[in-house]
Amino acid sequence: MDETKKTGGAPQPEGADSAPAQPEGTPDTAKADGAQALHDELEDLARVFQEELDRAKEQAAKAQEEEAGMLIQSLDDLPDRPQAPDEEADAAEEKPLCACCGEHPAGTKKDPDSPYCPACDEGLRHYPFDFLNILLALVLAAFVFYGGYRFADHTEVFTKAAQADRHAQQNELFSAADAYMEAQTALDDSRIGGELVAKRAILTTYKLGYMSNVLDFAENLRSWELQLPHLRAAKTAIDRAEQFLVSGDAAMEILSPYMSAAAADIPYDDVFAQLEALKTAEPAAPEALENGYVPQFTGYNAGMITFYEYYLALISNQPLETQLALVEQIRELEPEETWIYATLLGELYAKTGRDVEPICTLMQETNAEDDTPALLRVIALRTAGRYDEAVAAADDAIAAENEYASELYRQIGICYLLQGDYAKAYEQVNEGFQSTNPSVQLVNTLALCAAAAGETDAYNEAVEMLEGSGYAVSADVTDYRAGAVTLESIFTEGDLDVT
Amino acid sequence: MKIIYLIVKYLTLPGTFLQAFFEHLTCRAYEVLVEDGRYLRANEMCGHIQHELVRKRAVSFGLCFFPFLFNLLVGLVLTAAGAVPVLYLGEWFTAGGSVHLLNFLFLWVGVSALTNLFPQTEDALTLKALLYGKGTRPNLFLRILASPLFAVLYAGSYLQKWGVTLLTSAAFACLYPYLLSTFLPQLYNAVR
Repeated sequence: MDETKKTGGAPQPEGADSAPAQPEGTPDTAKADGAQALHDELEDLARVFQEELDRAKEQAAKAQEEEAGMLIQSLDDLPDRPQAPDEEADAAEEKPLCACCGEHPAGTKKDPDSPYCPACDEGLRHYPFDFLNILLALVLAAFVFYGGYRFADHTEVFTKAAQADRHAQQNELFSAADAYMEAQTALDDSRIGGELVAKRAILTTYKLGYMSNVLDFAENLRSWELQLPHLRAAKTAIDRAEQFLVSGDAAMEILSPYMSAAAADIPYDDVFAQLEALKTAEPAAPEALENGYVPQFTGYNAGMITFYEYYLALISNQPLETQLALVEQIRELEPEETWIYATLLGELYAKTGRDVEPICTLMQETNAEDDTPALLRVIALRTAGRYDEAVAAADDAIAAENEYASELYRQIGICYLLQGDYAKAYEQVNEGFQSTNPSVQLVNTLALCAAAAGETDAYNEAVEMLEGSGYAVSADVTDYRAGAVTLESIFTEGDLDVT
Repeated sequence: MKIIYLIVKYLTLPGTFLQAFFEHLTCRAYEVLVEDGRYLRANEMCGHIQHELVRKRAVSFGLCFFPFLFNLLVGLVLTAAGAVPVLYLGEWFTAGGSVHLLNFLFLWVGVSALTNLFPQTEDALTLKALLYGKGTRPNLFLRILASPLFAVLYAGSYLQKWGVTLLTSAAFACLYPYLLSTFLPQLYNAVR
């Protein structure tokens, strides 16, 4: 190591080597020379430090000037001068990087503030679909097409059921019942189990009193489902339908021996007592339906038994008031079941001079397609002696295609009979006879009109027809021919009609 | 409320997926920048695509309307295929006696699609700003013409945000067969 390093690293003054040597051997002179030498050395050191300091300051100032010049140049000359790679990297560090790739500077030509680089921006505008998503979308698309096909497959059934429902909503119960049967056929053909359609069909046909149809529709319901709340109304209808049928069968068993007997030969009181006993009797166990459901009821239906009591009174020629009392009893027992009593009650009201309008209104509210009210009004006018009005009302009803046209013609004929126009009476009743499959009462009335009009051949044909069918000619007709009764007595007394 | 929203979204998964898919498809068609293309995120974006703020009126309308339209069509077809047999005819069982799962599946997917009809509220608000905001209004005729559809989309977006659309679509599914029954029988008979 040299001396300069030992003295703190200060450079040795250049003149130090050439400084005059101090003479040795004189102490004071030597002491003074030593102090002077030290002073000179320190001055040299100070000068050297000052020079170094100035040089360092000069270099620092120069470096600052160079840096400032470079920045100004980069801003001013950027378009003209390509950047060096290291300069470009420096610039990139200053701008935010793409939020997607994190490699390239953010911003696009269109949107300089975009957080994405041009490549990522373009990519994100065409964001790719996952393969799984495409697959799922295709599956769903296929599902939609299959759904459309399935719906088209159900359209016929749906249409028929909807038409039936519309009829039911408008209280057109006959059309509704027919439409439900068509819908059920379509359901069966398509092997579709429409339980709600069956339920609505059951409720509609029950309202009409078509109890066998109720049980037919019930076959489409599962027995365990009938215990669930949504089919409670249907279950009640099925149970009651079976009860009505069982009650009717039991009553008919008692009545059947007397069905073709003369009124005088029927032991009314005995038979009536037998029917009355049925009301408290234990019914036969109901049979299970095909679906395994066993209808549940506790006894015979009193209303239905009473209906057969009325029927007994009718064939036994009991007074109208007796018949009316029985029908009134049915209404009290089963007020909702208009199909049992409404027509009978209307007819009896008409024949006994009571107001038929309330019962006609009830019938029309229950079933708008029921033509019975028009007939009842005609009967009421006829029995009240208002023949012209009765004929006019009957003509109107026939013009409106009333389903009871033959009976309306018969009523017109009776009006003409009572007015003494026998030829016209025969003509009208014969019109009714031709229009439909005639009832026994219509053929008897035809025979009566033929007898009154002197149409012997026609009378004989009517008698032959009755006897050929196993029916006896009405006593009213034979008595009239024998002169025992008059037309007025037949139609204004007793039953007010040919019996 | 986010929980209810998410529960409804996951209960109606097919519809949620379809809505997001159709949004994605619409974004692709309009070249809208998609920031997050995941369909089933567990947040308020579930069933929606996160995309850039749209500044064009037609694009904003398309983004709100087309997913609505597509899901509506899918929903109407599938709800008809499900609601008519299940809720109207009562075809709950197959001829073999087992539960008719397909009909219930149609009903579920159909109701799902109808539950997820509407755009997210931000998109609806953007559309509102572009249609009826100051400075960006189109002509009066267009504003009036668009108002019913906009009202449906705008109100629906809020209903969907609160999960109410599940109830409305379920109610619609119950009424749908009766709605169809008012014109389909006549149409069917006329065609036949």
